[in-house]
Amino acid sequence: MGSSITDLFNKLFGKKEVRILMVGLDAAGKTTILYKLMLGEVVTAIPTIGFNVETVEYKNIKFTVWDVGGQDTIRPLWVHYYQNTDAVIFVVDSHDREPDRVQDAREELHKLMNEDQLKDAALLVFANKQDLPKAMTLSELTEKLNLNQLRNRDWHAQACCAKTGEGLYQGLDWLSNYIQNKGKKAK
Amino acid sequence: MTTRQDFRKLAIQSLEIPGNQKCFDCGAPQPMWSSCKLGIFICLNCAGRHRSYGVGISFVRSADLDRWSEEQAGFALAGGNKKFDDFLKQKKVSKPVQYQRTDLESVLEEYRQILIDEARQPAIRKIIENFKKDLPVELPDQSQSVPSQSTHQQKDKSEKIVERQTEQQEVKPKKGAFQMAENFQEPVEETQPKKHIEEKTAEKPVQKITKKVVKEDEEEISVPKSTLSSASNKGGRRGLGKIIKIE
Repeated sequence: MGSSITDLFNKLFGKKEVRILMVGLDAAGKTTILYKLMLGEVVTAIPTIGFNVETVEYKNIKFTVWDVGGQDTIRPLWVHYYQNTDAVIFVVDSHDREPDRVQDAREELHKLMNEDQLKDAALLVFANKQDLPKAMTLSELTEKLNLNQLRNRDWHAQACCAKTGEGLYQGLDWLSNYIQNKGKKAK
Repeated sequence: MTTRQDFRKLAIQSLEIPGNQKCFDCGAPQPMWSSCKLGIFICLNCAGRHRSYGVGISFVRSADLDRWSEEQAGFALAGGNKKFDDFLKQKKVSKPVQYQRTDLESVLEEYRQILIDEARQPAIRKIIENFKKDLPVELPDQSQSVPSQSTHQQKDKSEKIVERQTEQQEVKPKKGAFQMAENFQEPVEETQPKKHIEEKTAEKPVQKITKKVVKEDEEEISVPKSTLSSASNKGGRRGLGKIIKIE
């Protein structure tokens, strides 16, 4: 009883805590996005072998972002990060038009979305590297990743550029709105 | 994912090509990453920098953590750090290579074309076909730099490579971890296994060349205090290194 009152109090006045899993193919820009959000700086990230985890506070929500390495053979390790994930951020390198890579991204994304542990997680797709020439547009990527085929999923795709930070907070805006609304629905 | 064959083993084997034992950009020992369309091998830190150029300039693969396509493996076998270095010298491009500079675009493109052609040569095709059939494979004969060897010796060499490869694969994760953990500060331990390999090669006529390569490398080791990423990455890696050292 006591704990449920505390829960209620926290729900009304406390900071919401959200657990985010950020994945995507290698060199998509996950680590760069994470540190741009956290530090406001562009770091020259080295390939992530393992993971980085940081908390980012935005609009009174505490986002705990898990950024997991995307190299081919370490992708099967993503599964260990699924538990209790409120939202998945899937990062795509919009500059990489190589059909095999786009196919890999699509397959990884849909595999992820079919995971039972992630069935209630929201999906935010970051179409990163929009500053590079001939980058795929948001609508192009939406189509190539078959995002419209997703069923029973709250998803949003956002064009962005981790280097300049453009689009990143728009993505987080969507996420925080989603989380606020979800809280209302639950009540 | 989709059932594409993984040619990673050929990439790992390409690390044996003379010149591939040091990072192309900074000279750090035992590079495990590759800018695969240029067929060169680079270290973890330089891999980070290359990835920031965009895939049009440098498409980076890990020799042990990524799947490699047939085409990419062909570039690794046909190319090599020494070959690219020679090409750049011929083009009077000095190091460090400014991959992003637009005036280098045509030079890099020319080299990519050369690699595409050379990866189609029968010698390379044979290696790949053998690999597909699960037959033992031997490294390409670097005809320009290495004196030609008799068939017997070559056979001998290929057997050794296979043997060495299996050996290497067992140790592989450790090697990667070392590389991550070291941050270039303690190269002593890293050079150890390489010396071991060189001693093995020393029985063959390659000896002279290997020595020369080592000498060059000694001169070239100007280890940069690399631009490095995030604090947490660094920390994690150092920790990892320690654990492995205890082992």
